[in-house]
Amino acid sequence: MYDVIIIGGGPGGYAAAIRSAQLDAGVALVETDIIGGTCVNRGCIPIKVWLRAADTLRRIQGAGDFGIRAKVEGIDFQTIVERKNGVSSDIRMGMEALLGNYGVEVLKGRGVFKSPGEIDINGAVYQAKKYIIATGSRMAVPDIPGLKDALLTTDQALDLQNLPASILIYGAGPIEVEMATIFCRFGSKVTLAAQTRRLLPREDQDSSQRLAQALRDEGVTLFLGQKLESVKPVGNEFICSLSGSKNPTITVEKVLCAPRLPNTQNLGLENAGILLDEDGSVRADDFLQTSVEGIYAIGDVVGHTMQSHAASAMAITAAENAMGQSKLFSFNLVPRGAWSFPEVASVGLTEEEAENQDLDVTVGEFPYAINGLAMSVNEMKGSVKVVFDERYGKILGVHIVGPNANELIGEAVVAMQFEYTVAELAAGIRVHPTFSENVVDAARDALGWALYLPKR
Amino acid sequence: MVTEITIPKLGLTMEEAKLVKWSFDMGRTVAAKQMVALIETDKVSFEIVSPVKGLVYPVVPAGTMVLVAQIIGYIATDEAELAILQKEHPVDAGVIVEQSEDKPGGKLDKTAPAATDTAGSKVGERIIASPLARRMAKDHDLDLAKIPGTGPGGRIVEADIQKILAAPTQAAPAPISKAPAPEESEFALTVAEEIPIQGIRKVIFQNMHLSLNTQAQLTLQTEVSAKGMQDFRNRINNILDPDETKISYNAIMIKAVALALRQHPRVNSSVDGEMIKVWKQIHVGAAMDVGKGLIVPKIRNADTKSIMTIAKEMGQLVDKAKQNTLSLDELQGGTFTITNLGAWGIDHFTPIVNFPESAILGLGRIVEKPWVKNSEVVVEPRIALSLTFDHRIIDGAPGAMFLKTLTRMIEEPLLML
Ligand SMILES: Cc1cc2nc3c(=O)[nH]c(=O)nc-3n(C[C@H](O)[C@H](O)[C@H](O)COP(=O)(O)OP(=O)(O)OC[C@H]3O[C@@H](n4cnc5c(N)ncnc54)[C@H](O)[C@@H]3O)c2cc1C
Repeated sequence: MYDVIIIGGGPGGYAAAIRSAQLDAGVALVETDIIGGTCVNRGCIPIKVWLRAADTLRRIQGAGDFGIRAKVEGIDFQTIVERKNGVSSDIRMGMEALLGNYGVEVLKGRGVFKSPGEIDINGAVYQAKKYIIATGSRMAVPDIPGLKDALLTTDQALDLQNLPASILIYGAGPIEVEMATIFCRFGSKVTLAAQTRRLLPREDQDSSQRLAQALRDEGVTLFLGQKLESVKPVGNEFICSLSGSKNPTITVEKVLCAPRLPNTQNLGLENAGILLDEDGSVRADDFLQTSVEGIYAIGDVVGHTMQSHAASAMAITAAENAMGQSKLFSFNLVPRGAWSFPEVASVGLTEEEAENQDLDVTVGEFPYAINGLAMSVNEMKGSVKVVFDERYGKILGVHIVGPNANELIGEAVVAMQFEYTVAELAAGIRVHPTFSENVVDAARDALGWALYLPKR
Repeated sequence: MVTEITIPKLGLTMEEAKLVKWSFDMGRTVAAKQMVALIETDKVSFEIVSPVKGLVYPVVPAGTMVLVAQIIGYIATDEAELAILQKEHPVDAGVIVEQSEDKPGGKLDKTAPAATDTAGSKVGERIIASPLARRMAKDHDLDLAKIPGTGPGGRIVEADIQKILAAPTQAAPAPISKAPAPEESEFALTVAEEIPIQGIRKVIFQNMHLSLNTQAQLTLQTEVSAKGMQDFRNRINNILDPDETKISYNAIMIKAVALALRQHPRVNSSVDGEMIKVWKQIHVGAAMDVGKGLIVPKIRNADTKSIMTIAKEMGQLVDKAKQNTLSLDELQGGTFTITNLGAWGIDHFTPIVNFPESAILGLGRIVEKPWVKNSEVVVEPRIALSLTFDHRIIDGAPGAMFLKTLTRMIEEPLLML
């Protein structure tokens, strides 16, 4: 009998295993595939290698602004793929070593609940006092006539040795936006279409708009608020028909989409009596406990923000609770990120959400365009926006578009976690010149005394 | 490393609990997994066990109302850590040891400090509070020294202030137009005892009111022969081994009710907003009073269980109820309730539905009565049934039909096969 069995060895399962072991649990980690999950093998990490390649190209192409005349002789995609594989396997090996180091037993195979107290792995039955479900998510191909033949999954895209000359990316989430960024930079003709009216619909409207402009500047054609109705082959290409008054059609070599659904199937959830939410994710309360006592769920399988840091943060809470503590998980402190050029990151409520909650909302904003570092390095797109409640100065949300947005958002997370009011944020001091000055300046603007903006 | 002892959340709705007692005085050694404190909610009492071995350092005195996730004390690994704790969280050791369960009150005193009884003892001491909490406290003229913090390390956070703002304070000014005090006269009523409406009493108080206030409750009453059930029970109990649990009338009733519910699913439902939710599962609760007020432990999926199993589970639930060790899971989430007043010589009554369920069956005593059968007066054991249901969603006829199905099974238990 184990103290804790964790199902799934992605970033969520891994962190839960280590944290449980740190609390002296006897831990088993069940994984059908390879350790590292989506994030390490098919997600965050691989796509960052590709984005770095694209960014390097972008900098070389912009080098002329700094007097450097450089010519790109060619792009060797095989090297990108090999580097990507290398990084993934280094991280995976590190994770495997640490699991061993902490005495976590890795059980190879698919874990299926037989009852609330037992799981089956390859026909053998195992028991634990507590369970943590961390089975992640999988790609769910939308049911669109003809799409299958034209489909390029993100898994395939990350292994491409030749990029399609033209591609339709269907969807407006972070993964789609990053894919559009990469393909476009490497010369594919990219069209991005989505049913939602704006990019990153979960984000503040201003962020969506800034990102849309940036993607257009990169050369991406956007069709927002339009549904992909059908895909028809013509020769080596496909004609994609979108809904909408003008019924536009787009001819491309490939269609990429990446919607993800929680992995709740073939897991025996019904045998354990674990309930799902309406969106198909596993229902978990603020302690990350499912509808069954002693069974916790974390990461993509519980929905919310389907990102890696959410999974690993939930893992800590769930592991501590499984080991007898009672920690609440702060869903409102989970930041969100996308690595486009420029990056987009946020935490907390958007301006619109805050207004809908009937709060006394005010915003402060500071554009990168007048930040010293941004001007020096010629990266001037973007802004930092602070949404706060006028009454007590409570910071409700922070929305950043711009270089290093995903690093900067950490400042906002700390501020919100420790309940700084906008006044504490405004009183901060940062090294000059850095992008981080923007966060302080946005808070000062919120209070009406930004030093580098015209008098209000 | 110092380990925090916090109040666990024992159920979805739990917000506070009473810290009944500490098992150890300050500085005593507790073993890992050993009980360190006892808390009591309005539904259950719960033993908090120490996750680690170490020296106990209580911060919140026994008898205090505490909030979920509040830190009530610490476990230090060694004397050195204990000394640090004493510095960081000074408490009057004497106070804690003397505090006991029978200390009156036990209400969350919104103005009393969490750690000690001496208000204002934090003067000159650093109060740890988030900037937002400070600002809110200032805005509302709250004294931070008197507010218990539930953040990391006992830090006062926004939620602590919100909690105080949300609840009406006891010290709230009295209404301006206060009724004049009645003149002292020989007819004036004097109070013999004041019983605070709290704990289980408060839950019953609220639930009863909610039930009648929400539903249109109709009670149908009938009487049936208990002969078949008596024979059935005797026959089975006679063939049981001495160590097997004897079956009770309640167990037979639970089974019969569960089977009747299966045939009349509408009775096994709840109203949720604009929706009638007919439940798939049939969880029958049996109301009982083990001296601490009314509780209703459930037999889950009673329709799928044998009468023997039901009898056994009931026995276990009663034992647990007596020992006060029922878990919340055993008390929540029923779909129908049975209540039996037979032991008190009651026949017919009007039970109140156990909200949010939609029906409840009241059982009277089994009593021998003259009864006309085939034009002859015979003596027969009879039992009265009172079915109350929510007339908003269950019409009279379907309610009566449910009762009919049930009475047939009681009169002829073989129909349960
Ligand atoms: C292209 C792409 C890019 C992304 N980029 C980012 C990014 O930049 N930043 C970010 O934060 N997030 C990113 N994400 C999302 C991120 O990968 C996920 O949020 C994260 O991996 C979720 O972690 P997890 O542990 O919940 O699940 P997963 O990583 O999906 O791991 C679940 C694991 O469980 C295993 N498993 C499933 N069922 C069973 C079973 N029954 N028994 C045993 N094992 C089982 C699976 O094999 C898998 O290894 C990206 C995703 C994609 C697809």
